[in-house]
Parts: sequence; C-alpha cells; structure tokens
Amino acid sequence: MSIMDSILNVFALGLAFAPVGLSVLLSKKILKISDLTCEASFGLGGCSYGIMVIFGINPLFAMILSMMFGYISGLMTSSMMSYIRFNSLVASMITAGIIQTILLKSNSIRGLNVWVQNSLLGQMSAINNLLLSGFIVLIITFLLFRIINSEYGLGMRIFGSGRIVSESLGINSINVLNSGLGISNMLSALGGILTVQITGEFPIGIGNGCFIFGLASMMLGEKITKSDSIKSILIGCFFSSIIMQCVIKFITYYGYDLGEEYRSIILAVTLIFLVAFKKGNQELTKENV
Amino acid sequence: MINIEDIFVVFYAGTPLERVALRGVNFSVKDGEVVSILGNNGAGRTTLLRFLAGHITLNFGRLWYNGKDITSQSLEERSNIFSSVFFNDNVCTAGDLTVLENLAAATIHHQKQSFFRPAIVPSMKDKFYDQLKNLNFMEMEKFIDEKVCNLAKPYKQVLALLVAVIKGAKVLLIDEHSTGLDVDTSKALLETTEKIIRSKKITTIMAINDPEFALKRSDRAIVLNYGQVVADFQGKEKEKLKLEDLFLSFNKKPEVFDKKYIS
Repeated sequence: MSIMDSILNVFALGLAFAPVGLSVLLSKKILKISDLTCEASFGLGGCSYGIMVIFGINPLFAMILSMMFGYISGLMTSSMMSYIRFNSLVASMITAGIIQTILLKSNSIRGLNVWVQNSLLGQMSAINNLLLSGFIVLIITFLLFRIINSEYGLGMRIFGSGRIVSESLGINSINVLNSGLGISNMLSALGGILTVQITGEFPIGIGNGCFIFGLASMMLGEKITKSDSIKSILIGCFFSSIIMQCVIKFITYYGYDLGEEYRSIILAVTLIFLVAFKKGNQELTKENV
Repeated sequence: MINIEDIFVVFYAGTPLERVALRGVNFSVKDGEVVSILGNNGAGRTTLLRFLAGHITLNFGRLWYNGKDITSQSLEERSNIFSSVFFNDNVCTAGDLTVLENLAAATIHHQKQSFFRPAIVPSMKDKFYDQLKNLNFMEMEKFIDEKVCNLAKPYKQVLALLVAVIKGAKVLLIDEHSTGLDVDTSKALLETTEKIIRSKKITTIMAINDPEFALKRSDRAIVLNYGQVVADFQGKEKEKLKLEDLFLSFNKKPEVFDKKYIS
C-alpha cells in the first residue's frame, strides 16, 4: 500500500468513525444518557455486515439490515430503562453483554481471518473507501441535523432537560427515548459497517473504546467550533473524528509502534487531556459557577 | 369544573417511614375560578398540586374534570388540562433550551410531532417577542435567545406561565412561585400572574404564602392543615373575612383527627 493510499485510508477511517461521534452526541449531549450500548452496536453492525456480505447478500441490503440491528440494540436498552426502570448505565451494559455473546457466537459461523471482498462501489481501493464513507456520512449528518431541528428533535432536547418537563409538555418520553437511543445505536452500527468496509476485517473487539472515541470527538468538535449550536457541533464532530483517527494512526504506526490493541488507552488518555483542557479554559457562566 | 373527591396520598406506605400527606381532601373548583391554597409548611399544599399535575399517584380517591374521571391519567395525558408553575422551576421549563425554543415546544404540544418539519420557523420569533413585550415584565423580551438555565428565577416563572397559555392549558397550578424573591419582583410577578390568568380566564389553583393576595385577588381561599381542608372561604364569607381570621384558621384542627399520622 502506497503512502497516499495509507493517508486516504486514515481519512476514510476517520469518516467511518464520524457516525460514532454523532451517536454519542445524540445520546450524551441531547438525551443526556450515558449509553454504552454504542460499543456493542458498533461491533454488531460491523460483524453482521461482514457476515452477510461473505454469504453473498447484497452489500446495500446488508448495510440497511445491520443498521436495523443497531436500532434494535438501542431499543433493548431504552426498553429496559422505560419499563423495568433500570439505570442507563446498567441497561446499556446488559445489552452490550448480550450483544457481545452473540458476536462470540458469530465466530463459529464466519471462521477466522475472513476478509470482506465485496464493496458497494465495486473494488475496495482507498479512494473508493474515502468517497463511500464521505458520501454516506455527509447524508447521515444532514439527516441528523434535520431531525434534531425538527419538532421531534425539539422533543428529544426537552427530554434531555428532564422527564417531568417533557411529559408536562405532552411529549411521550418513552417514544422519544426509544427512537433517540435507536437512532444513536443505528449510527454506531453504521460506523462499524463503514469500518469493516474499509479495513476488510471484523474482529469481535472492533467496537472496544468506541464510546470513548465518540466522547472525545464530540468534545474536540465543541472545542474546534467554539460554539454551542447543534450545527457547529455536528460539523465539529465530523472533522474531529478525522483528527482523532489521524492522531491514533500517527501514534500507533509512526510513533511508538504500540499496535492497534492499545487504541483504547490512547483514546482514554486523549479524552482525559481534552476534559482537563476544557475545564481549565471554561468561562464563568451561570451554569458552571 | 374540577372535582377532588376524598383524596389520600400516603408516602412510603406500609413502611416505618409511612407518612400521610393528604387525607380525605374534598373540594370542587368552578371554571375560571382563582383558588388560593393556604396553610403552614407541611400542610399538604404542594402534594395536592403535584398530585393534580400528575407527578405523584393517589392511594385513594377520585379526580374528575368536567365529569370525566382522570384519576389514572398520566402526567403526559393530564398535560392537556393542567399546566404547572412550581417553586422548583426545573420541572416547568427546559433549562438547556432557549426561551424561544421553550415557547415553540408549547405550540407543538399534543400535535403529532414530525421528524422533518422544523420546530422553529422565522415568524415565530417575532410573534413570541411581541407576546413577551406585551407582558411588560422586567424587559423579558430581551432574553428571547437566552438559555433558560441562565435566567433569573422570576423570568423562568413567567416563561412557565406563558408556556401554559400558549399550550392552551385549562387549569393552571401554581406552587409558591413568588417565594424567595425580593418584594418588588414578587409584586411584579404576582401582578403579571394575575394579568395572565384574568385575561385568559384560566382556572387557577394557587398555593401561596401571601395571605393578602389570597384575600384581595383570589375568588376563594382554602386552608389546609394536617393534609385536610380546615377552612374554605368563598363568596360573601370571603369578602367579610379579615386577615387576622385567615391567619387564625391556619392552626385550626381538622374535624376528624387521627393522631397516628402526625409527624
């Protein structure tokens, strides 16, 4: 692989991870829920897509189906929260555990080291990957922007302010939670699909550290755009995930040669650095005094 | 018309911490009536209003609105009828949203919310700006684009009142919304409240710490003690009522009195 191809692939991977940032933005920033399901739904999306493509299912159909699986995983978490009144962390960890077990089972179906040969754009060249990721992520970002600014999106933002407020304004909080977490996990699954599409492999631990990545890219996005508006944060998320991916690749390949398995540590350190940086530079507003 | 029938609210029922907050509250409120609920701390005023709003559930009793039993309706279902302005302003308005967004949320109340129809259209801002200006409350219109969490308490309370008006609430529940404010602001807030409820003819049930307001401005004054109605002043009886007599009624013991429930 030439240097140009590597660079293009890093950019493509950055774009592939952008939906994860958007997913965390939706759950953490808008619904104010710490949803760890996105780690599992990333893997679920990627693995189910990979398996379906290997079995000869149309990649586009496989993509839609895998995104639906992501939606269902979000629905599982939200149902536990709404009907059994589980805490968001507990509910999301249970769902993540269930999905992880399914993924382990999938090991026996797919065998080891199977590469995805098909692609939506035919051959899996670096430029095709970049175009594919860019096109899909742009559409998804635009759609998410429209949803957040819609009447339903306003309902989601009110839900984030408190369940009592949203219900006293006539908003069905169970519906909002279901669709919010569903869309959030669908985005995460899309991230997994695009990653599998680019890298061509789908290890079970593909989604490890996803939540931290999303959180870090969301915060970096806020820092880059220096704005509180949804539009700016969405655009910031888009660029910051590319920057984050570049940083990871730089450290793992060209820096200390740590290897991909240390990605979570790098992400965690970056996140801590970002939080410390953010807290240190906060302006005194009524919210944080 | 609201009928409150023999309402019992027991917290931590069946445990050593059991506490009866309301025991057999009975009264009716006519359409357009402004009712003040008075009483000492712990008398059950807030519990009564929180029950009416749908925040807490009943142990016994019935609640009727225009002949329809709404006892088992949830907070979301009751939001068609009731709107609340509580001392805890965080349960009335969305703090992370701007004033404009809060008002826009009230307009889409109980509509089928669309995934793609924008929540805020350009004409909304001018409309709400004018509405805020007409209220003439401490230049509130200047804060239309400000996040609600950054606003002072009286602005939040007025916003909650306006949200109630915009969403077309039939009954307004107000719980000590002017408590903790300085004298001038409190007076301005009460005047604005009265202006809104009288102009829109909204039925109002108002827990208040200002007996003078209850005596002069409201149509009826109900006094609660130990979770029961101990006095109900209305019509000519209320007109003749003196402030001292109203104060005296605060410590009146209920007719049916069970010492078990005193904490």
